[in-house]
Amino acid sequence: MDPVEEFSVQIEPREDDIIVRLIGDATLTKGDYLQDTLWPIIEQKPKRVVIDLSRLIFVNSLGLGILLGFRKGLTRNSIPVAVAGTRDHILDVFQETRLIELFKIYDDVESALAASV
Amino acid sequence: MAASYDQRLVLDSRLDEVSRAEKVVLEAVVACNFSDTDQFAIKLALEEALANAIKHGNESDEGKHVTLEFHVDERKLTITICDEGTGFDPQRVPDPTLDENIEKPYGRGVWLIKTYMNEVSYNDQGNCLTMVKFRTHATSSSGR
Repeated sequence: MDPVEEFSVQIEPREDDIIVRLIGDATLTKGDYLQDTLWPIIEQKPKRVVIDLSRLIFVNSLGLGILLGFRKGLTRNSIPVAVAGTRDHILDVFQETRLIELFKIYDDVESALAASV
Repeated sequence: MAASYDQRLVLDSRLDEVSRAEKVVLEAVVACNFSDTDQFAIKLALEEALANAIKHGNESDEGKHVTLEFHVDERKLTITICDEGTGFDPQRVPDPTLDENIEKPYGRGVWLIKTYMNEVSYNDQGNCLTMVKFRTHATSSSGR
């Protein structure tokens, strides 16, 4: 596996959109941090949200559940959301769990934004 | 001589214990030349199994413990994880990939273990899980 990187979430406002970058190893003890970081984004009412997973090394069912809750909150507020840059192992999890049917997935952030998510 | 490891760990019922167990198991599977994809699968199954044992089995009661025993060699990894809870019936866990369940934010742990490991079994009480992962060869394009 790739070297373990301490999990972090970076939020980049870009005009009316927000790019959310999940970085590192989203293990069990990171659930509260992930939830607490994502939820305020919904209240900011961005035009679109792109979740960049290109630097996410690992995710478990807790992380997937939090992403689903985030998606639900955005959708309730009519805010489109897409996922960008999933690595092979993460993409495999999305495929196996059928989350790939719930999130539009793009190669990278720029492709997601260009596609008018 | 081929690498082979046996170890038994006793964990407190706290989520921060999971990383300690993961480190021990993953160091052993790396030493036995398991692929990156195998390592990802093992880590995922371990996190799900230990989270279930700590949160649902032992109900995060710090007076209770989770035991983890494993054997790994260059052919396969076998892990048994037991908690002190009353157990559960894995057959009654809903399939999270059914249409009516895929948007639910919970209920994927047991299913992920079954999907990412090669063999999974429970004792009669349902509080001990044994899972097996066969090492895939480096030339294989798929880890599972």
